[in-house]
Amino acid sequence: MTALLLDGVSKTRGTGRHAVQALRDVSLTVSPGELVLLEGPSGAGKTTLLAVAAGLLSADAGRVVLGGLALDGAPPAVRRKHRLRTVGFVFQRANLLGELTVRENVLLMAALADVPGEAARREVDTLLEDLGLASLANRRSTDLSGGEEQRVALARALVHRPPLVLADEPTGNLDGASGRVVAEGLAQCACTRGAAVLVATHDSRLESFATRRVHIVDGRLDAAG
Amino acid sequence: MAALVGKALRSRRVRFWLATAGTATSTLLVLVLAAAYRSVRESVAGYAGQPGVDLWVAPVGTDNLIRSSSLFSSQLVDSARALPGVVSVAPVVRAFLTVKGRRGPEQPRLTLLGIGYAAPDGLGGPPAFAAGHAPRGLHEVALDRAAAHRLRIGVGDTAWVNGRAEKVVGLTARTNLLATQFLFGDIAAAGPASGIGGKASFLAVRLAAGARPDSVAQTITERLPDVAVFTREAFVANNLREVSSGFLPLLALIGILGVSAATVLVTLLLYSVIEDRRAEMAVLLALGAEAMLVGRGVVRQAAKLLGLGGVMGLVLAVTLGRILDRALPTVPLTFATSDVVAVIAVFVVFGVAAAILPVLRLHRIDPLEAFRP
Repeated sequence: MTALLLDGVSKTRGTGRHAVQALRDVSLTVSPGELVLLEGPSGAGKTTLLAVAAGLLSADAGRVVLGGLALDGAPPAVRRKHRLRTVGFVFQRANLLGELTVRENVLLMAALADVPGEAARREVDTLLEDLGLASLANRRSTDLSGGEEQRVALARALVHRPPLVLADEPTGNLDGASGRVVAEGLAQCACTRGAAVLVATHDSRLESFATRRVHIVDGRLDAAG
Repeated sequence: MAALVGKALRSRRVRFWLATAGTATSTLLVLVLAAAYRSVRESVAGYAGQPGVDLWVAPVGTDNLIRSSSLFSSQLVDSARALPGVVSVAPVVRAFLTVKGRRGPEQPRLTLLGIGYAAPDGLGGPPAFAAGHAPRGLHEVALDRAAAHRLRIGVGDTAWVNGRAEKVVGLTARTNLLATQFLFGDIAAAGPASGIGGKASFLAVRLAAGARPDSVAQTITERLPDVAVFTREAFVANNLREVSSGFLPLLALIGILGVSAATVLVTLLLYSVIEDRRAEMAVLLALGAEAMLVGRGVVRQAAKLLGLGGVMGLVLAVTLGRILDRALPTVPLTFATSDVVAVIAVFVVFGVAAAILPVLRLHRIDPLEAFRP
């Protein structure tokens, strides 16, 4: 079963004179174990595609199937709950919650996704250990470096073991070493955990980890994914 | 989970304490204004509404203590005392007196509302004492303690009342009208001091148990010439009306403006504190948190800030009241539970509404904000 299916999806952002067709007849599938790079210039529609894939935005036309559920017509509450179970996000900015510690940031995502307490704590410990964050667990996220922040964001995206991970320029703000750690984390996520990973990026460092690359320009994919 | 969401939305420390301090100061401002307003009203009611006096008899045309110039013969006392239902009658003379604490042209002086009554225990005397006792002789006086403070005198000192030396034997409470204060002396001495001997401004009447004030007032009006009779409640209302026509409206206006400004400030503070966490709200929503969960976190945060600010403001107000009471009793403050409840309720309503506004607008927060660098 594909983790994500987009079939003929179109989406217009803004209204009136400011309306922009961000996606045009986009079709894409991402399967478990795949790491797909979504490449394209700024403003090409990468972020919109990720948002539509996650159900954060509704498609104007076409079909979006996420983890077996067709999002079109599904009530917002259903989409939200389904997204919680099936999607992990890594944003360009780590977007950690500054008042929380590293551990709490990750635990909060587990709690939102209804991961039972003990299992959540075990998973948090494992992820922090795997991503080299164990010694930072009780540090406030505002005290971390950019690379550390993004690794925490990755841990947060994975803690509820989502079948699909969406990442928007996850290495865009990172130096070489930090970017590589995050890229390896995403690749491991696909290989070891069997998750489908879709990464919007400009970063060529990620290419060696990708199983497939698709290109988007002016809201249109170059070739069928 | 709710605890983590609450912690995630917690305000930055400096901002939180600034907002709390703003709320506390607003609470302090409004409580002090309310207390000053209430204090004047209570002082009016404290004297005119003293429990021992059931009826006040005044010359026709006079209906309050503050402004009265008419007088009648104190011989009316005997006529009134003989009426059915009346237990005791005491003449009260009232006049504005110039009072100095020391002799000499440079000494501070005040114009006080002088009350001559049948000292020490007669009707129409001081409603309460802060120190000392009631005057017992012709050359003893008791005066409001705020006036004594302004004159820099105390119990045992000499006050110069219209140029006559009088010994201060008591400091009275609930007798400060802000614009003026009361001074009490024996009515036998009031004549020489004020030049109106043998006259009375009012008669204070106490009724027998079971006597109906309205009925006795009617009898007095019919039997005594050219008098007006007021029940205690009516006399208090008349005096409050008189005070209200003076500076109380200004005080009320200042109070209303103060409440409005403080409410706007609290509303703004709460709004900005919550709006400051817009990015965190967007992240929580993008991660999949329910808007209701985020909203509850916000309201908890607002309630904590308002509660803390309100309590701090209350403590500050009470502390300020106590300090003023000791160091500067010329500004009387009377705090009432109802005022505290009302002020905190107003702030909570507006503050929580201001906090909820960003929550109600949560659906307008684009979760994509979380994606943007």
